[in-house]
This record gives sequence, C-alpha cells and structure tokens, in this order.
Amino acid sequence: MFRKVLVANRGEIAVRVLRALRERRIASVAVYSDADRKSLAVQLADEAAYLGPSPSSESYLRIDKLLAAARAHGADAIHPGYGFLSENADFAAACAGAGVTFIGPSEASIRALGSKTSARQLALSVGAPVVPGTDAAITDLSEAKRIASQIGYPVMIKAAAGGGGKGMRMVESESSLEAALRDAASEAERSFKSAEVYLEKALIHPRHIEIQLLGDNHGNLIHLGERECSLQRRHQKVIEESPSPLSALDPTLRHRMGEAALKIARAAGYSNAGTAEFLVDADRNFYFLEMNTRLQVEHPVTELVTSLDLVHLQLDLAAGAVLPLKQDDIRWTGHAIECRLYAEDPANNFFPSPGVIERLELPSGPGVRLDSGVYEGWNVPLDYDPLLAKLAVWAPDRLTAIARLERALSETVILGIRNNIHFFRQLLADPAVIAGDLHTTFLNTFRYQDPKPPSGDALAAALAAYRPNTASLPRSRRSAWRNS
Amino acid sequence: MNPDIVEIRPGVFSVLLNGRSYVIHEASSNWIALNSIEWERVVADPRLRATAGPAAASAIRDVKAAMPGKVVRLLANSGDTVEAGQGLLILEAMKMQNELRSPRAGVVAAVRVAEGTTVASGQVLVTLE
Repeated sequence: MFRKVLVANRGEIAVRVLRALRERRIASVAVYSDADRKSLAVQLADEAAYLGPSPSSESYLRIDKLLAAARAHGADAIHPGYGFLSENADFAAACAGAGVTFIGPSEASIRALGSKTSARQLALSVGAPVVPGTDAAITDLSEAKRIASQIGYPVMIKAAAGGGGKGMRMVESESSLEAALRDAASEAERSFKSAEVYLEKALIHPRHIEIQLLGDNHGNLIHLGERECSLQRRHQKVIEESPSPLSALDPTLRHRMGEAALKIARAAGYSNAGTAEFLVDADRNFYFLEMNTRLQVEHPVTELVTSLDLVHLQLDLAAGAVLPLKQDDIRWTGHAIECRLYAEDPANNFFPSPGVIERLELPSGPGVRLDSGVYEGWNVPLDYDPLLAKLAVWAPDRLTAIARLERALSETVILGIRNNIHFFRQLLADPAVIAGDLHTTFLNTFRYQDPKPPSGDALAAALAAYRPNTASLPRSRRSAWRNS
Repeated sequence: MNPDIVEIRPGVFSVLLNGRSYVIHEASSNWIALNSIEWERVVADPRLRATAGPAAASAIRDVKAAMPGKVVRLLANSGDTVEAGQGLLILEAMKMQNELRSPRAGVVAAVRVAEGTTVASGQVLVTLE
C-alpha cells in the first residue's frame, strides 16, 4: 500500500479523499492555490503544498507543479479526484514517468475512451448499443434521406466538429430534411470552419442512467449497478439516485446495461473506478454515451446502496490488489438520493454566488451523509465550480429517501451567499419527481417559485427575534421581505 | 400573545408564539433564516422608498454587477434600444456564464466595460438613459 498520497484537487472531493486516506492510515498531502489557503482540505491533510495563483490554469491544472509537490513531499501516489486533470492522459503518463502511481485507469485506457468519437467506435466494435446514426459525415441529400428513414424520424443533425448546440437541427420528417441540412452545415461552417455534419436518432425525453465500474490491474472487472442522473440543468447533474426508478419497473435493465458497460470497459483494458453513461428512451432502449474515466461526483449514492467505499477500493486497486469482490458478491439494498448544494441563486437564473458563508447549519440524523468542502466563515472563491457540498441520504425505499432528503434540507441553513436548498425542497415535492417520471430536459420546464413571504405568526416571530429586546412588535417598522 | 424569545447563541433565536416553535438565524443585518428558509429583510425606510420596491425598476439607471466576474461578451452597444429583460452582457464566474439583463426598457447611454474586463461586485457595467 502507498505510504503517502497527494490529492490533486480541491473542495469537497479533496476532503472526501483525504478522509479515506486517514481511515487507511496513509499520510496525505493537500494542495492549494492562493484562494484555498484556508480550505477545509488543507486543514484535514497531514501536509500541504502551495501550487500558485487562484486561476486553475496556474494551480490545479499545472502538471509540473503537482509533480514537484509530490516529489518535495515524498508522495508515492496521486489521487486526481474529478474534474481538473482527472481525465487527462498526459497527466497519467507524467505521473508514471515520475515514478508516482496515478490512482485511476491506465494512460492507454484514458486515451481509448477519452474522446466521444473514439469511445463510440470502441462501443460499436464490441456490439454495445450507441445512439443510431452515421459515423462519417453526410455528403449528399439522397444518402441523408436513406439513413434518416432507416433510423427513423425524428433525427438530429449535428456538426462533426461541434458542441454547444451549434450546427444542430432536429428534423421531424423528410420534407424538412433538405433545408435543415443546409442550415446546419452553414452554421457549422461559420462556427467551426467545417461544414461536416452527421445524423443521429433524436431521443425524446431520454433518461440519463450510468453504470459504475470497478476493475483491477489483473483483468477482473465488475459493475456496481446504476445511478439515475436525469435531473440536470445546463447539462449539469443536480440530483442523482440509485437505484433508478426504472429498475423497479424492469429488473433486467441493470443487468443488461451492466453487461454492455463491462464489454466496453474490457475492450479498453479498463482498471480502477469508472462510469459508463447511457441515455435510455421511453421504450427502455439504452444507448452508450461516453465513459468517465474517474471517480464521479455522485459516487456516494452507489456507496450507500452497495455498502462499499469506492475511494478505499480505488486505493487498493491502484496499489495492485486483486479485486476483492466478484459480480455475484454485489448486493443492492434500499434507496439513496443525493443533491448538489451549489453557491447559486435560483431566484436569479441560478446566478453564481461566491462570498463568505456567514452562517452554516448542517443536517444530521438517521441515514444522512454530508460530503462538504466548506465551513462557517469560509470564503467561497469565484475561481472554481460553485459546488459547496453533496447531501446524500439512504432509506429502505425511494419515497422514504425523498422524505428524508427533504427533512435533511429543512435542517440546513446557509446564510451569506445564495444557494439552491429551497429549489431542491420544491423539486422534491414535484409530483413527477415523486413518481420517478424523470428525463434530462425535465428541469428546462420546471419553474422555481419563491416561497410566499412569512406572514402572521411567522412574520411576528421573525420580527420579534430581529429585535429580541422588544417584547411586542414595533408598529413603526414596516418591512418588505424577499426570499433568496 | 407575546412571543417567548430566547437567544440560543449569538444571532440564533428560538421563538415560541401561540404554541408554535420558530428558529431564526441572523447573518448580516439584512439576511435571516426563518425555520431554515432564507429571507432578505428590506427595511422600508421612507428615505429609500424611491429606490425600493416594484416601482423602482423604472428609476434604475446604472446596471451593476451582482457579483465579481469577467465580462466575456457584450450583447448591447451604446445607443441601442433595449426591452426589459433583454440581455446586456455575459458575465463569467465560477465556470458559468450568466446573462445580465436590462431591468427596464430604455436606451443604452453607455457600456462601461469591455469584453475581457474583470469586474468587482457592485461595479457599474451599463448605464441606461
């Protein structure tokens, strides 16, 4: 096992990994930028190394500085967390070159699965389902018509060099195909200097369901079941749960998706923790989307239903241990849900809200797990992702888990910066969410509403506390109230 | 009935009123949490009335940054006529881009920042006529 591990990350995931290291009695090294000198991670680590100025390009993304810190502190392994350099094959290679173990898959696996197109090719080569479409650029209309009728309307035209919705057109029927192709190609040309477009089947209201994988360096690979992450805003997951509500309707789904994910991972020679992401349509057909070659933000929900610790296992597997579990050993119990607490303002288009956390009350009690990177008095920097903490709960069944998460949120107070606690309380009360009727565009139409200002006794209580020396309400003070 | 108030620790109050239990957390002078739901308390001082409340939007001339960030794109130019809610510029912070919208219809008198400018919270970004 490793003697000392450097955690090449910040925020709640750095804290998560540092906790695992302490539990395994492995010495730890945190890293920090100017903005993070007072971070919780630095306080919880045995040692800490300064990286540089706050912008991540000058700190958490600097391979040279991270390896210099590992050398200076005598770390024999690096845990990359998620984000930053966690899926960077060059970083994995540089670690190997420096004689430091990268806690994750091999450089070759990261490269094979790193881009969406190479991962898609790999999936096709092993017969795993991908969203039906063309692999090469469309060159003429008759070819486009033939393929579109083959995969079935509606189809999506996408720019080959694209991203961010540019050069994308949804086509409902053949009559509008020609014009849409022309528009998409010219938009692609303007945006990416390449007019190449391809066709894909358009999935209507798909679910996002992903499979957690775990492998050792000796060819053993298992899956730990699924997580449903369909509640997303701007392609950012906000609530994740396991099992998927679909699993209750179709118990074979987990097994079928797990097998598809394993096939892809085996073809890439995958080891350590990873996640295969899928879209699932209304007929419960699933399509491979991409592989995340790292620990996921939402890994706690899998840990809660499987009673496994993924970071402990990552450490063991990276150190060369044989996978201590077989597929048949994995048991799923109860239901887990997690929500991501962000420094953002739901009443103002989810505007980010950095600043000092003036007051912080955290939930506890049965079935509650909080993975936090913050504390009262912490100044949330504007330089990084606004994730403050992940609040996850476990309960014997889904409805109890929803009620428990709502209860835990009702115990949580964050003052000084805006946050999405009340947004979650409203979302968890939505009939579609309670029914498990989820899809990836659900939040596009979900309307957050500010709660009604306090009135009657509640207002009286608030006003009384505001001036605790005044026994009765001061009549002269007229107040207006605005919720965050 | 008069409320029964106790200060549990500095800035945290338990209030019992008509048999019900309330907990109030205070932060700065304007923010409280009432039974864990946050509220901004706006005192309706007569001297401030001109700039507070729904009627005030029509009086806003300076559009300010609600938070620190970097201007990544300008969506309106000096002299443009804008609708209420129309995007004026895009501000980036915490890896997210956010559109800053006009509080009212009007004409843009001046755009005070350029693309790439790093701005502080409260800094005037756009002035409306």
